[in-house]
Amino acid sequence: MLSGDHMRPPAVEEARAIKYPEVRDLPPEEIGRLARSIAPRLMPKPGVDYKLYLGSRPELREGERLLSYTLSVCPQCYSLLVAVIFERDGKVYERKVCPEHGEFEELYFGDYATYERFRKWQRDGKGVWTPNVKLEALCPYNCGLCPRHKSHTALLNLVATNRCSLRCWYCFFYAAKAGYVYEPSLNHIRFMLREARRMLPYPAVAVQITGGEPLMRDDIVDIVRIAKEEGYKHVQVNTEGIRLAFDPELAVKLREAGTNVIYMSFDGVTPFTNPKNHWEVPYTLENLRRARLGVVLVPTVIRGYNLHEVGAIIRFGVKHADIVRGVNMQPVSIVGRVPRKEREKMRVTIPDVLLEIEKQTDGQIRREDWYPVPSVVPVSRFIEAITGRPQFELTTHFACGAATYIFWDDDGELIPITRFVDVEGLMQLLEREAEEIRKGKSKYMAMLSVLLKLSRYVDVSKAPKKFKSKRKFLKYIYKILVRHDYSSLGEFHYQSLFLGMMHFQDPYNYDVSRVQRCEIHYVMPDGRIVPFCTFNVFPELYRDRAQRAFSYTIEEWEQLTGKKLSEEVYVRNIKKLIRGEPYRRAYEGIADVLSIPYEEHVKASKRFGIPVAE
Amino acid sequence: MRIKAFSFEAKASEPRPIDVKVETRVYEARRGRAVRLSCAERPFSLDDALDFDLEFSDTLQLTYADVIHGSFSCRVLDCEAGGDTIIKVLDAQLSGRRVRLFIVLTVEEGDVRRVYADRITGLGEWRERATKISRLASLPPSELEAL
Ligand code: SF4
Ligand code: SF4
Repeated sequence: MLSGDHMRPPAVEEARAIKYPEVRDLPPEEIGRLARSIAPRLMPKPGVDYKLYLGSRPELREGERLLSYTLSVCPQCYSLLVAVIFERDGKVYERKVCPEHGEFEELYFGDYATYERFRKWQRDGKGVWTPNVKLEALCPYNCGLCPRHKSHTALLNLVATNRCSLRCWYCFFYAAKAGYVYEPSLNHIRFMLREARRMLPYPAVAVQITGGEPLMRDDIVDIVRIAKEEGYKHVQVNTEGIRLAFDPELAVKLREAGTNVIYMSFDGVTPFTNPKNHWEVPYTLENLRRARLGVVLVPTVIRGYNLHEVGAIIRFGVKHADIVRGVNMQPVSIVGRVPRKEREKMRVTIPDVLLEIEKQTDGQIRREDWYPVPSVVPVSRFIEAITGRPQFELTTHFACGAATYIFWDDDGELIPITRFVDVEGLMQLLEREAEEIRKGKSKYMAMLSVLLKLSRYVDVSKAPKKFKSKRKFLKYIYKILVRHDYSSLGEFHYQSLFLGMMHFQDPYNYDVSRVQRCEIHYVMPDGRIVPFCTFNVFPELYRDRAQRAFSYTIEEWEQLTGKKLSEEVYVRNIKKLIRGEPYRRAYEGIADVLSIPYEEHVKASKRFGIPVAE
Repeated sequence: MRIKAFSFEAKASEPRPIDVKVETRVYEARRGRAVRLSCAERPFSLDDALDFDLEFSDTLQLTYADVIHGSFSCRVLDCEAGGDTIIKVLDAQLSGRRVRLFIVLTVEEGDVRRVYADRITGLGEWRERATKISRLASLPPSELEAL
């Protein structure tokens, strides 16, 4: 997420709702009661935070073909507007007109053919049967989750702190800049985690501990442990990885406490494309390797900045596939006031990145190898038909994300799963069988039928050599699809690399129909659960307002901890880092980083905002 | 007490196909009988959008943000109720599939509370639902079936 100038001061300057030091040690239930009593005061206020301008639909122009109308927002005043989604010259755009701030047109999806292919896979969820708020305002100003929301939480985000030891130039979020410290106590965290666990029809089972930089907290291991105690099967920690580069013990402790995977920012393979953690990543990977803790690399992709490295990033992932579980790319989301020309220079959408990956992998990973997130819903529906219980479903909007799995042979050839598995046919089979069960077919007959037909959808002759045993591979697939076996899924992940993509929204391309289907949620300190794309797109109305209400002043926090916020600044020792053997090994064969002059390294780091020990 | 209801048709193709037709009838329970209320009809206006969401976000998993994608024609029914238990019957056609859903409201000191709503994504067996609705609506199941 890239923020331009913040567009305006917070519409409502909320005083802190409470003196946090006085309530932080209350038991979870009491903090919960207090939090819920404060939540209604923090809701976005119509007429103050936003207006409604829904009276007219934007016109289409010559050469434009209507695809749909939708609700969107004005990027300047957040007013709710009607937007038109249309096709022009093979691309999909969104246009809207704010009576106060004029017209906004933005690229929505860079390739119409992919848009159509993805759209076919849209499936909706069952909604949220236990909303956290009453329905009192139009979407997206009623989060949440409100009774309209269509998808359960697939990944819950919990902000453990807004402290960070980096000072990235584009960030407005970290404590020193925000002017307060947001750091919920362990009891408070327990309350927040419980809020998402009581969701029906499907409670949250995966949580990401995030920040700021969550590893700044000395009790991060306790937070992971609490998440496990509260029933989260999957716990991931979102970090820039720097502390893990220097603290091998921490990686071990995190794994032992139950962390399933580290989610680590990784924007490129050179210091110029990844000045955030280029020098530390090799050491972080070494320590994670020793701790046997997997990592997902998370590049934010920006045109004119690192789009030319998406292929190299994937190859870097494959090179370290013993420890890298996936690469999850995020086309840039432009939050803040950024002029159209500037936006066009940076803007990439999912199909644009897919095309670049195809080019940069010499056609080994093609656009057609990717499927939108909801394409796996038939698996959940089949299991639901068999078990009779609601299942975890990935029912985001088709334009939100895409994924595939790749394998590789010893000669380095990349083989996407779609080369030897007919994904489309397989999903149709599961959908048909689920329908048959609903109509009365015996569950056992349906399972048998899937087992017998499975081989029709797998061509092992095209599979990587390690899968030349057809039986073994079919067994995997059967266990994952039919038995929903978590350990088989884990084993599958060890043999492959997950490639994912999620295009978080911004106010320019905002589409309410996407956010209503969102499955990546934040739990806020007041107990509300808010989709990622309202939490971060309208920070003044959700994230900042709620966190400020439950924050410490900097003085309070320093008094409580005996630390000094201004001293928590990371100073990079580039000389030492580039001399180490792990550095050379990590990038070898991917990028020639050793030929880069030392001064260029230093410049790249400083330009980004991270000081260097000379 | 004025009770609002909606009858509408909506068709859209994105992001997923929608083809819905809903006719709503509104009743109140009077001494174990359901009496149909007479309702004035008027066109839908933006001020009704929130009430539309209240009515259909759980029952049909449909909101104003969904119907705006394509064609939408809607009649708003303003019904005058005197009793304290209201039953709404939603006769819906979802891509040709017919389904009947119930909503039960109670009125207490001028406050309308929605005490029950069928949910299309978790619709249980009719017998179970009928028992619950009939208890909340103070109507015998046979009366419900005749609505
Ligand atoms: S995004 Fe979801 S929770 Fe938020 S207002 Fe819209 S439907 Fe409700
Ligand atoms: S986080 Fe944003 S992009 Fe991702 S599923 Fe939610 S709405 Fe879509």
